[in-house]
Amino acid sequence: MIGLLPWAWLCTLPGLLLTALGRGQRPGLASLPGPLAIGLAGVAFLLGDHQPVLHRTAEWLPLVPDGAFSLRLDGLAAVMLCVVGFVSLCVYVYSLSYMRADPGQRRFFCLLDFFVAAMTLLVLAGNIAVLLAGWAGVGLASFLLIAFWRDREGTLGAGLQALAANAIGDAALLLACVLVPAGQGDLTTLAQIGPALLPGGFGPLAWLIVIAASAKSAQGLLYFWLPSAMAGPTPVSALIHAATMVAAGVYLLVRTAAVLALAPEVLHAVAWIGVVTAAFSALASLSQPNYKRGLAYSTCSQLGYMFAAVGFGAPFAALFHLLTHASFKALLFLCAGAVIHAAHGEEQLAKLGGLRRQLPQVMWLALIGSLALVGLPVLTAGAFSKDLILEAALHHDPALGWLLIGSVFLTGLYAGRLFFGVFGAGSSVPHREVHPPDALLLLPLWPLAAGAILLGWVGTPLAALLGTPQVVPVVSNLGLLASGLGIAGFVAAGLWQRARAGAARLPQFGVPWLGPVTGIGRSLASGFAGLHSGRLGLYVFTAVIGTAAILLFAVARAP
Amino acid sequence: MNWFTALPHGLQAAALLTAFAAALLATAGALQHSRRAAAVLGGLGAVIAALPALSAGDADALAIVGTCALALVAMLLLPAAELQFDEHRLEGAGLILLGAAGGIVLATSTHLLAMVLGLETLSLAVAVLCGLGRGSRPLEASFKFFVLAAVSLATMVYGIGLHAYATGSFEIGAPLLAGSALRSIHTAAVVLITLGLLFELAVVPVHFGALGVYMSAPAGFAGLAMTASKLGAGIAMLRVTAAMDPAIIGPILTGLGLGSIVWATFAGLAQRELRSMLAYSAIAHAGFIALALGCGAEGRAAAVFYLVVYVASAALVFSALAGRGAEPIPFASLRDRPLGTLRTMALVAGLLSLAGVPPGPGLWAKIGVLLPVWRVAGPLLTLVAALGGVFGALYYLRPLPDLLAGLRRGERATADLGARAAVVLAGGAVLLFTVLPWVGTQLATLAPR
Amino acid sequence: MFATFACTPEALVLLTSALLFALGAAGLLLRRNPMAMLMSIELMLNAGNLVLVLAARANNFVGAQAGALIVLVLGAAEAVIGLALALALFRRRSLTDADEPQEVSG
Repeated sequence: MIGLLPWAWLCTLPGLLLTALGRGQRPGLASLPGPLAIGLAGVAFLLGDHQPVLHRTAEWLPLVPDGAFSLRLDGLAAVMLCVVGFVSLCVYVYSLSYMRADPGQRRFFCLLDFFVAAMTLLVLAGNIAVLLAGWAGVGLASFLLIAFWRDREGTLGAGLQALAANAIGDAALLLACVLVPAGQGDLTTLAQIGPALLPGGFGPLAWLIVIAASAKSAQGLLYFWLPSAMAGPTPVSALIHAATMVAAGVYLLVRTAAVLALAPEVLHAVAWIGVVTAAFSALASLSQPNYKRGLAYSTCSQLGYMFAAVGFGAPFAALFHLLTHASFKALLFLCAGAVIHAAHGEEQLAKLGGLRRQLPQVMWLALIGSLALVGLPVLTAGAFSKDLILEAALHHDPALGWLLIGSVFLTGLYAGRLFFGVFGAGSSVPHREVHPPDALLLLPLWPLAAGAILLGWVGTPLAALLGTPQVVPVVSNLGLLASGLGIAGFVAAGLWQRARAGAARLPQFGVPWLGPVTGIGRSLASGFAGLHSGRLGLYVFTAVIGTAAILLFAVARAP
Repeated sequence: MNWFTALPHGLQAAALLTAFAAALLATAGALQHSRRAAAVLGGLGAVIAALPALSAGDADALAIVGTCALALVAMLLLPAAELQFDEHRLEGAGLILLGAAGGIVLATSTHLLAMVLGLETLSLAVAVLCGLGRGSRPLEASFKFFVLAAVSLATMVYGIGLHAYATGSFEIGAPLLAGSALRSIHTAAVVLITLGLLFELAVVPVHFGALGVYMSAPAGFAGLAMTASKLGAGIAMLRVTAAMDPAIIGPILTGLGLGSIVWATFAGLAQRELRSMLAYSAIAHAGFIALALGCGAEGRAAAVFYLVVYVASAALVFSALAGRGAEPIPFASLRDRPLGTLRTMALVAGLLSLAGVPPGPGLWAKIGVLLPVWRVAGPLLTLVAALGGVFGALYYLRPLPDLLAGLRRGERATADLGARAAVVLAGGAVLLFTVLPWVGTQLATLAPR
Repeated sequence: MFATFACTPEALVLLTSALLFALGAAGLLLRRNPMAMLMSIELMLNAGNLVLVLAARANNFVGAQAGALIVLVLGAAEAVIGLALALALFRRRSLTDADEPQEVSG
């Protein structure tokens, strides 16, 4: 029985088929058992005897160095299975209500099923080839879901931005696939490849892994696609662009942490990328007029924390934060979705406000999520994981560590801005007609809120389970300092909002370099396409002169 | 009949096909009003032509031959949908068979003259088939393709002449005769012959003619042109590169391959219309095949796998579009005029496979090519090839949201039986390579060392 | 070594054929009239034929003579198809500019 668990990635495919072929009745209901099964598979493993379950078919892929179809279920994968399974389940239930009126909801649930299958395959991959299959699959699903609404402008462009960043990551993973010698592609034993077999040492391999992870997790220069990805429906933003797909980059880094440890300069670079992204994204979030984009920059920032944790040599801290972050960020996004749904599609913060009286449940849920993001000690899980990261930071590299602690204050600021901007009293927005969310929409938010509160306590047992036993302190001095800063920021934002009634705003950070870069690409593209001008003279010229040039080149080179 | 059985199998098949084509053209007048007769007779001719090869009995060659027979049947079903239109029916079936005969001869011969004959028959058949399309665009593309084909023929004939002078033979791997200046002449010969074959494969700088044909021929005929020319030229190039000096041919193929990938990826990104996007994609894939061919024995094995996967995917895409005629298909129209469920799913699967996105088999083919390129050409060029491959996804996947959105609103299938059969056959092949890619290994091991 | 080769009659024939090929190519590049282009292509083909004949003579290779005949027939068949296509395409346009139809582009 336990041998079947690595095949959990197939669990959503029956749901996909049933939804695709079904008629009439509520689409999506058939898809609910899939993610539940995935989550339960993870739990079953964690409660069992923790022996890794492997499955390997030799020579599935021809011509690829390590072409076996290899699946691996161990503690790390089981934790990810729980995250993917249970968050997906919540998002599915939410979508049953959120997408009820959408004519494309059948397609929506099919795409979600495909995404969950690809994500699970990614998590269960035993070697780079299978990882690449899942990696590219989630990229495809992400594109199709961002560009889901065909009648709205800009969704396709946003999807193409995501594809472009994804392409860079895919290229890096492709090269890594080629670089790894035959039979040695197993992800957990990459660090044991003999140095003679790897040209250039572990440095290039580590860089390729980091580039791939940065593309998927929107870190460093490759962050530009994540704010644009908010053009998709909110359940998609919650599931894919907050909790699971963007976490795949962090998962990859944690999985291959041993390789990174063998290339210290790369590790250092990862820490820098993480901290800089964390700080800048936090600043950027402060200036976003759009509710969801503010949350997107927040996701970037928190992923930066996770990257920094890996860079400081604390991969467990990164994984733990991934777990808690999945919970509270999904909660925040789904609350945002409830607000937007209630306000008839309004996403601009300037037009939302004072919804405390009209959406009380959502407000409390959003408060829990925001406090978890900020890091309220003991009561929220976010504090446990964030403190662990900060401890590692100060221990490893104090300068970066204090920068990270400073970003905690910024985190509080933007979290407060988002929360009080929507729910705070004293708003300048006149009372608007709000359509109350139904019970099915709010139902899945409560388990997520419970996770945001309680998940901190699983830290110590989880660490023991994963083979890196450490005690996750309930509170520590550093933790209290950081949380204090965070709460201070949160409260400050609230006071600011009350005082100015949300009217003041920082100048907007955009992605200024994206325009020129796209422009260059476009002119290159039309330049090449324009050479096919319809003029036969040009074609013949190219052919004849090309032939002559190649001939001369070859004859001149020949011995 | 002794002379018939003495021929090599490839020529036997070609002879049978030519006979059938002649019969079709002779009875053209009588068949004019029958919709299906041309397609049925053509298919029958294809099956019968495959028989002598299948009865070869040699287990090793059986695999190649079996695959080729299947490919032939699929490729002949592909353009069958176009034969439902009056203006194509008379000459179309005959030309298809002739083109297939040319492709077979090109792929199976080691004698340079036979290769040239096969090449020209295929090119000219493709040119005339393209010219049969409705409107002035197909005719224009056909003439331009013809001129460029003639130029490449002249180049290749000159090369063959030089080869005969330098080696005294028309066999590909023949050794040099003694003589001081003959080395340079032999090099020139090899280069010119390769360039002649590369025209059929459609790589830069001789790709413009093929580009026009892929863009503006009727959809089924364009599919046939793409698949038959790549298969024929690719297999012929396998033989040529195996026999010739890699120091001469390798850098040329690698350079032209990379150039094609870069050119076609950039130009493809500018396209807003399905047919021209697919045309540029064909150039990019030809670039990958040429790149693989230039990288030694491993590269040749990778090229075979890539070729087979590419032909299956392209056949799937064009069987979905077969019968749509020669007009451009802007992306915006994919939502408004959907194709029907089977054809839309086929198009989606084919585009995914061409893009190299799982679950399609294209990704494995690309990795298979990148490894020999890394070993022979170094990391920088591998990076360029990898980037070219993945950025292609940007233009392949662009129509996907519109296609999927139009899925449920599709009209009832009005596709021709031939096109539907082609879809099923090609879809089965792509599915096979997705789930069991190691089947491709068996084919790859048959590549000449 | 090259010098001794260059003085032989074979080299002269090769040079002539190369010159013919180049003339054909130049004609192809410089002329816009489709008929002139087709004629230039025939010239290039015949340059190749010349080399085949040379090969037959120099190496006592009868196969090359057969090859030359085959190429002649090939050239003729091609000319037929080329003329047919050109006439079909340029029927309504002026027959003087092969660059003129430009619908297939991009």
